[in-house]
Amino acid sequence: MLPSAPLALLLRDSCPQHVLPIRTVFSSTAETTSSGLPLEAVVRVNGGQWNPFVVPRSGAATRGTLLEALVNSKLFGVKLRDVALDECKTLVLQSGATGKKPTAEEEASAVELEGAETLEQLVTNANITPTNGQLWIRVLLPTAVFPPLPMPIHFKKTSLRDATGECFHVADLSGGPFFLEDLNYQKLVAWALDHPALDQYRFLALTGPIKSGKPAILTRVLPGMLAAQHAVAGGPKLVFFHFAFLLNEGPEEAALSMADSAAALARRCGVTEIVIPTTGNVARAALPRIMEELASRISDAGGELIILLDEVQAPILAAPTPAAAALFASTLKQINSICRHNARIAITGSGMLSLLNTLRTVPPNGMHYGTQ
Amino acid sequence: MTRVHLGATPPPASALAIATDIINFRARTSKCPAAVVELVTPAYVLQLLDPKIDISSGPARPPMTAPRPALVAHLAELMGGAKVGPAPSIVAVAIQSLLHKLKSEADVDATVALAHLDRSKRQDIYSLATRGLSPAVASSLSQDFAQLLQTMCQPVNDSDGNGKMYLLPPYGAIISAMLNVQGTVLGQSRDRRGHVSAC
Repeated sequence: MLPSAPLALLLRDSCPQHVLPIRTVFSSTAETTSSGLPLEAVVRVNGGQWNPFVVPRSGAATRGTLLEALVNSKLFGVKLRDVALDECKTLVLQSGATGKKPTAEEEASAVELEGAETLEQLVTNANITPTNGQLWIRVLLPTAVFPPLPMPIHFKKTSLRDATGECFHVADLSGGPFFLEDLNYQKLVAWALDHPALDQYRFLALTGPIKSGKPAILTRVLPGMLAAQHAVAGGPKLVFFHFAFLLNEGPEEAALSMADSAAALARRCGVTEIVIPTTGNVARAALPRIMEELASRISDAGGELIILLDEVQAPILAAPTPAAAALFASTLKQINSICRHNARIAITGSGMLSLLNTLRTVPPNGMHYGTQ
Repeated sequence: MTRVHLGATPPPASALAIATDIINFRARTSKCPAAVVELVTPAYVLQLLDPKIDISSGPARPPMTAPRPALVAHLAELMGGAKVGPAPSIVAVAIQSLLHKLKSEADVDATVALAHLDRSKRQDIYSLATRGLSPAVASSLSQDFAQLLQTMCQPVNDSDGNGKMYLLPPYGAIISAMLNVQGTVLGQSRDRRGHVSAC
C-alpha cells in the first residue's frame, strides 16, 4: 500500500526534476485527501473517443481501482459493464499528446499499469511527462474470443433422384445420413459461399411442414457447411447465434429472450457494450439495434455473425392480435435490413404458412389492418 | 430472401433407398429389442407413412404423413428409442406419438393462418386441401397467394397422369377438417392470453 501522504510530498522526495510539472498539476487541480489527490486524465476505452476523466484517490489508484472508477462513470460505464476487468489492459501514454489527441506513435509509447502498481509509481518509474497537466490513459477491452467452429460437413452426390429428377446429396450427421434435394442443396451452398454479388442470399428462409428437416438444417447442416467453406476459403471467423423461440411465448417476451441471448453471446465473445432493455415492448423495438450492435462488434473483432433463428413462427402464432404479429414480423425484417451488411441470417419455423402470410402482409409503415 | 422449400416426398425408388439408409443406421446404433429391428424394415416404415390420396371419386381424405426422409428418420428414432415391449405395441405407440405431434403443431399454425385469410381464399385452400389444385385453377389465383401455396405444396400425378398440386402432409388433412366448402372455419378458440388454437 502506498503511504497516504499528499502526492506533492511524495514527488518532492522521489521524482527527478523533469517530472515537476506533474506536481504542479496535481496540486493545482484538487484538494488533498487522506488517500491521495484526484488526478486529471484523458481516457479512451477501446476504439472510443478520448474524454477527460478525474481519477479519484490518485495517490493510491491502481489498475483495479482506476477500472472500477471508470465502470462507475456514466461516460465509460456502458462499455465496461459486465466486462472481465481483470482481462482489460490499462496503458498510460509516456509522452502524452502533442495535438488534440495522441498520434499513433504517441500511443505506441504507452506503458502498462499492472498489478498493485499505482499511477504515481508508474509515472515515477517510467518517467512519464503529462501533457498540459494531464495523463493520457488508454483502456483496452479483452480480446474477442470466438467459440470454436463446429465440425465441417461435406455432402456427396448420390445416384438417387428427387421429385424433380435431379440427384440427391447426402451427408453423414451424427444422427444418421441426411439427404437434400439438388435445388435445395444448391441454394444452401450459395448462402454458405456468400458471394458478394448475391446479396439477396444473405437472408435464408427454410420453409416446409412439420417434420421436414428444418431444425436439422438450421442447427447442424448450415453451421457444418459454413465451417467446411471457412476451412477452404478462410475469411472472418464465423460466430453462430442460434436462438429458438419458445412456443406460446408472445412477441414481447420473445424479443426480451432474444435480446438477452444476444447479450450473453456478446459477453462470451468478449465484445460487450450491449445494453439490454428490461421490458418486452422496449426489447422488441430495440431488437434490430441490439442485433446490429452485436454484428458490428463481432465484425470489428474480425468475425462474422451468423444469425440462426428457429421456431420463428412461435411469437407470431402466440401474438394476441394480428397487428402484434405483423409488428413482430416487421421487426424481423428490420433486423435483416440493418444487419445484412455484416451478418447472415437464416430462419425457420414449423408450418410457415402463417409466418409467410404475416411477413407478406406487413405494409412498409409496419401497420397491419388484417385481411378479414 | 432465399426460400428453401422442404418436405417434398421423393419418388418411390428414392424413398425406399433413403429409408433403407436411415433404418439401417438406426438398427446399427439403437439398442431396441431385436423383434423391433426385425419388424421395422424400410418397406414397413414406408407403408406406415405412405399417403393414400384417393382422387378417383368423392371427397379425398388427405394423408397426415408421407414417406419423406425427415418423417422416416423421426419414426425410426421413436421406434428405436424403445427399450422393452412387444414390437407391434412399440410401433403403435410410435405412430400415435408421431401423429399427435403432427396434429398438435399443425392445428395451431393452420388455425392462425386461416384466421388471417378472407373467405374466398379459405374456399380456395379448402379446395386445394380436398381435391388438389389443377394448373387451370392455380392460374386464376392471385400471384401472391399462389406463391404462398407453392411453399406448402407438392405436385402429384393422378392415375391419368394429370398433375395436381397437393398440400404437403399433414396440412391437407388438418385444413380439410377445419373448414367447410363455404370457407367457414369450423372451430377455433382463444385462450386467456388471446392465443388462437383449434377446438
